[in-house]
Amino acid sequence: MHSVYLSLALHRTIFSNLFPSGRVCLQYNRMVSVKQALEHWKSEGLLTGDKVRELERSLATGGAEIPNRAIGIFSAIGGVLVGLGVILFVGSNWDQLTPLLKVIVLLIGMLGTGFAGFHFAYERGDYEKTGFALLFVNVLIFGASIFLVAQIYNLPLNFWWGALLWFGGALIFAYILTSRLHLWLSVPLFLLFLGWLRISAVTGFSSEFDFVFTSRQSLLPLLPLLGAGILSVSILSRGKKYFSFGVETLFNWGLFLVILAVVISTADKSVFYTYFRFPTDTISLIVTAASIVAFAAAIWRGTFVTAQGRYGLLALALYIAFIFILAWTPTWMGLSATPDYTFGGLMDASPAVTGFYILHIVLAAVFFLTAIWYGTILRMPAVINMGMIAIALLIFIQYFSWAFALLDRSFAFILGGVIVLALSAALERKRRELLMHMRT
Amino acid sequence: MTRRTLFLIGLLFELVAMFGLFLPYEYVRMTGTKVTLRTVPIDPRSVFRGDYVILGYEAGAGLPESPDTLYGTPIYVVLKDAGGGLYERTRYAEDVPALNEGEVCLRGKWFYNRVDFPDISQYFVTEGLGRELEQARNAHRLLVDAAVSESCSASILGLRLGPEAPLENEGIPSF
Repeated sequence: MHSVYLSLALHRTIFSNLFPSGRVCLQYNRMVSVKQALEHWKSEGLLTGDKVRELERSLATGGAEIPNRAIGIFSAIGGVLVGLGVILFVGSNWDQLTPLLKVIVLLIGMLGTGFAGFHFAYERGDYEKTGFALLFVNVLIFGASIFLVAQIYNLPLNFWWGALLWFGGALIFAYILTSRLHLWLSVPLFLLFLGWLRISAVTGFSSEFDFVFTSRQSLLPLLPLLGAGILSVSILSRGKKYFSFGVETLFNWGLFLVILAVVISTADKSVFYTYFRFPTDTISLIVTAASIVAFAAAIWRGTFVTAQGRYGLLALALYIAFIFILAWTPTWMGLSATPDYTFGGLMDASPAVTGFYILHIVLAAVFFLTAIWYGTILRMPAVINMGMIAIALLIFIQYFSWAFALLDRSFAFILGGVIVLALSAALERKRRELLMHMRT
Repeated sequence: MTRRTLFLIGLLFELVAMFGLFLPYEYVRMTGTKVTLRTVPIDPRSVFRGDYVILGYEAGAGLPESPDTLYGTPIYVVLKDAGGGLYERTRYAEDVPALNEGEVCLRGKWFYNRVDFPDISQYFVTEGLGRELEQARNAHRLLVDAAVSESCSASILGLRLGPEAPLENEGIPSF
C-alpha cells in the first residue's frame, strides 16, 4: 500500500466531493496519510470496501488520472451510441425479422452485455470503464426490449408502465452497481413515466410528448416540486452507506429541474400564468405530497454541509410556493374567471399582472445568483455552471422580450449582440475566477 | 448478499419485466372475441417505436358532445356483429355494461364528441409504410382485426384494406 501524503488542498477536495456532510471530524490543519484517512472513513461506515479500493487505484495511477477519465468518457459515449442504435433498430421495425427473432436478438444483447459488463468491471477489474459502459448498454437494451414488446402488441403511445419498468431497471442497477450513470438515466425515465401516467389519467390518448408542451397535460408546473423532492432525497442520502454515491447526481438533477422550470417561466407572461397554474389532478397532488414529505424529512433529518444549508432548503421551498401563489394571484384578484381563458389582451390590460410578472423575473434572477453563490461556497462546479447559464438565459430572454417594443429592430439586434458578447466575456471570466478560487 | 447475487437479481428483474409484459396481451389475443372494425387513420412517428398509424374508429365517432367534466373519463362502447364479422356500435355506457348474446364491449375515453380506444389506437408498421397506408386510405377503408376480452380490453391482430369507397363519399367524420 502506498504511503502517499496528501496536501491540504487535495485532501479538502476529496473530502468535500465525497462527503459534503461534514460529519467526519478530521482536522484540515494537519497532514494525514491516505491509508489512515481511508481506513478511518471505512471504519465510520462512510466508505465501502469497493470505494476504498477504487480510491487507492485512482491515487496509484496518479498522473494517469486524466487519460483514465477520458477513457471513461469515451466508454460512456460508446455505450450511449450502441444503446441509441438498438432503440433505432426497434424503431425501424424491420419486416425481414419476425417479432420472435427480434425479441431473441435483444434478449441475447441484454444478457450478453450484462454478464460481460459485470465480468469486466468487477471480476477481472482491468477493464472497469468498458465494463461499466457495457452495463449501461444493458439497461438501454432493456428499455429497447420493453418498447419492442409495445411495438409488437401496438400498446398505447403513453406506455407509462413500460417507462416505469425501464425506470425501475435503471434504478435497481444504479444501486446494485453504485453507478452514477445508471442513476443519472433513471431521473429522465422517471419524468417520462410520470408524464405518460398523468396523460393517461388526465386525458387518455395523446402523442408521446404532449406531457412536455400541452398546457393541460404539461409536466412543467410539477418540475419545481419534483426537482425539490429529488434534491431533498439527495440531502437525505448524504452519509448513508449505500446511497451516498448518488448524492451529487441527484442534487444536480434536482436543482437543474427547478432552474429549468423557472427559466422557462420567464419566457413570457402567458407561459408563466398558463403553465404555472397548480394542477389539481390526483397524480399531481400525490407528487406534491411526496415532495413536501421529502422536503420536511430533509429539513428535519437531512445532513447539510453548512449551517445555513437547512435554511437554504427552507427558503427554496418557500420560493417555489411563492411562484405558484404569484401565478394564481390574477385569478384571485378577479382578473380571470376560468382556468382556460386566453390571456393576450387581458394580461396587457392589467398593470398588476405585468407587475407580478416583473416581480417573478426579479426573484428568478435572485434565485440564480443564489445558486452561483451556493455553488461557490460548496465548491460545486456543476451548480455554478447551472446558475450562470440560467442567469445568462434570463438576461437574453428579457432583452429580446423588451427591446423590440422599445427600439428599432436593427438597433435591437446590434445592441443585443453587443450585450450577449459582453455577457459571455464577463461570465467566462467570472466562471474561471470562481473555479480557480475553488481549486486553491 | 454479494454484489454478484444482487446483480443476478437485477438481471432476473429485467427478464421477468420483459416477459411479464407479453402475457396479458397474448392472453387477450388467444381468448378474446375476434372482431373487425372500420377505421380512420393518419400517420405520425414514435420516437421509441418508429412509424405508426393512429387509428380512430367509426365505433367511437359521432357521439353527443360531452361536458368538460367527462373529458378523459372512461366510457364503454358496446358492439355487435353487423354482418361479415364487421362490428358496429349499438350503445355506450359510463360503467362496464352487461352484454347480450353476440355483443362485445370496448373500453375507451371521452374526447368531446368521440371516444378514443387507447388499447387499439395505434398500429406500428415498418419504416415508411405509414405513408403508403395513408395513400391507400384514399381509395379504401382500413379495417382492423382485433381480439376483445370480456373485460372490454382489446389487442390488434392485424390491419387490412377494406373493399370500400373513400370516406368523403360516406360523410363519416374524420379525426
